[in-house]
Amino acid sequence: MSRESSQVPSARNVKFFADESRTPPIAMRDLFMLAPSAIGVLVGDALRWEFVNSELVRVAGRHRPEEFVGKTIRESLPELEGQGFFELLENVYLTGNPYVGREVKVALNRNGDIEDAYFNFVYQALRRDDGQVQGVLVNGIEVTYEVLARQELNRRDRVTGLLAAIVDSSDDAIVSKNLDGIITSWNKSAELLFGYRAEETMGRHITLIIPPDRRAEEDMIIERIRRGQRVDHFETVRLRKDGSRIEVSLTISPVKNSAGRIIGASKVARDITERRQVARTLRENEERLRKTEKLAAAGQLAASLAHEINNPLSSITNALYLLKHHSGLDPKAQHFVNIASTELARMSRIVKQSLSYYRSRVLPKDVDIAAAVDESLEVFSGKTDRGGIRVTRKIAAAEPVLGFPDEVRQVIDNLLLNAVEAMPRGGHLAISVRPSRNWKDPSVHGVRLTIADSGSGIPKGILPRIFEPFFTTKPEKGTGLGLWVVYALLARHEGAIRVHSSALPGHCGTAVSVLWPHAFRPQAGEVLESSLAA
Amino acid sequence: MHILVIDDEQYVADTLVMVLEQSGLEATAAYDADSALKKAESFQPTVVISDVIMPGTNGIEVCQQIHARFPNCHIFLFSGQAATNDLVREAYARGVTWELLAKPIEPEDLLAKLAALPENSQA
Repeated sequence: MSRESSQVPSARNVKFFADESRTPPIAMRDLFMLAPSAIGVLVGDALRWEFVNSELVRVAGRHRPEEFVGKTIRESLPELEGQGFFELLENVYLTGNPYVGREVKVALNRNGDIEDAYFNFVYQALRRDDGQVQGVLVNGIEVTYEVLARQELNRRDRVTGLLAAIVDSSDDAIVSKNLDGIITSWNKSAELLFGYRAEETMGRHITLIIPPDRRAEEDMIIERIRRGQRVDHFETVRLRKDGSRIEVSLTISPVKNSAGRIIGASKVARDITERRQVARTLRENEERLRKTEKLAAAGQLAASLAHEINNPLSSITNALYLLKHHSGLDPKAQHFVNIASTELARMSRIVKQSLSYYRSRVLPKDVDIAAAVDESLEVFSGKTDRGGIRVTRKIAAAEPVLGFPDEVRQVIDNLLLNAVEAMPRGGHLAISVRPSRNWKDPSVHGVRLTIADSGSGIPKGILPRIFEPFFTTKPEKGTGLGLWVVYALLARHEGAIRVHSSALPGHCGTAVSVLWPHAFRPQAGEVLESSLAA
Repeated sequence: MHILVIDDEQYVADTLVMVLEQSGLEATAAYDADSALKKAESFQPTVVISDVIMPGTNGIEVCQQIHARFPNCHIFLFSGQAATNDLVREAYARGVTWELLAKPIEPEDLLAKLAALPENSQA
């Protein structure tokens, strides 16, 4: 690599040439010949090879000493032209100053190919007794392998350093582990994501960050890694140091050593908690929209159906009335008419409930919820008394709300009916009325009515469906429209409804809370009516 | 009590008239605006029960014309769509105060309402 001149012990006193024959003693020749370094002797100002050992022949990529001996250096190694060695040797010959080179690059023609090789070498002047320079001793050791190995090592160090820097500056958490699941690296983002510092995790098992209920995933992952497979964008949950759970997307790849054997895995973890939440909110909004659309569509259908059905219902109602009052019906016929009347009344109720927008007065006015509740309880007193239902009421003084009295009454009636029907073998009906805020928007003040029953409760599975039209758990007497109508009527009052229910034995029951705001924005038509009324 | 029942659905009008007659009330039916106005002239109703949505002149307009001619006549609107109907909403917005009956109405309920009307309608 570097060429340098330095003082080496003078060879002046070394007796290579015992006499003028300039030939070293045989023993010395043998020693040189077998030396592990390349040794050669150049003589005269033409620098002609006098002697080369077999190592010199070998490292030069030649085959026989005859390719050197008797030839000048320029003749024997023409490929060195332009590499500066001829000049160096001539300089040593002329000045007598030795030259020492370390890891010097030499392009040699080895078996027809020009190859780069590296040598540590010494060029040393050979002098006669009178000090006159007669030749140059060349002694070199090839260090190509060592130099290249070090270069490769340096290169790898640089690459490794670069990779380490990349890994450390990545926004993704990057962790590696061996096949036993022991953590072997932990980057800065991993520190941020999981809350552990690198030194806290190195040497520990990866289950450190795997929730106990997801330990099986690790076996699956390691199994795939052992087979050389990747795990791509695996969405799961991991544990932070503080015990909180984070949703992550993992990409895990096998890590191989230079021999291609799988020795572990690298894991890239991305925090997707936020993405998941966004997706969840989107899904919920879509769900809500679908529900609203479904309600609107069902409402429209019900309204148009109701209109078409109400006319024939009117005729039939009247006709049955006339039949009932027709003289000469025998008791059996009378019985049939009664059945028809009862069933017709049920049908009318369904249609009316689905239409549900009937109002005797179109203008909203102040409604006292507590008074409305008492009126409804009065209506239901027969049912509760007969049904063995104990009723408790807790009424706190509350300002009236703006509302359509019939609709408020219908909401209360429907909820009371549900509660009573939930307790066919009796129970406890608890009713409270109090000033409150809307739990969906605490800036909205209003009156909250809670109706709680000790009935069998609503199974969790069907809880999300209870506001759907025609959804009923009481097919024999329910219309499946009660809560749907309640929901629609509350929506028109800009109110809210919340249902808590438990079907657990011993703790079962349902509590429905509704909130009427003190004021709401009437719809377009209603604004017109309000302003005209004012 | 003279009751004029107006409904383009003939069965609805006819059965209602029969229900009223069965209770000893005098009633007659009309199936469209023109015949309703003609019947009103000859029959001189004290009570009108009128459908709202009819082809041609709607029930509210018919009732307004009858009311202009017979101011003491008591008017009920009768509709399967009740308050959701735009005609009804507009009418109430203009200050109409006639009671709106929802179809179908139980005959007993209607008879009770008629019985409760003030004396001046009972002519």
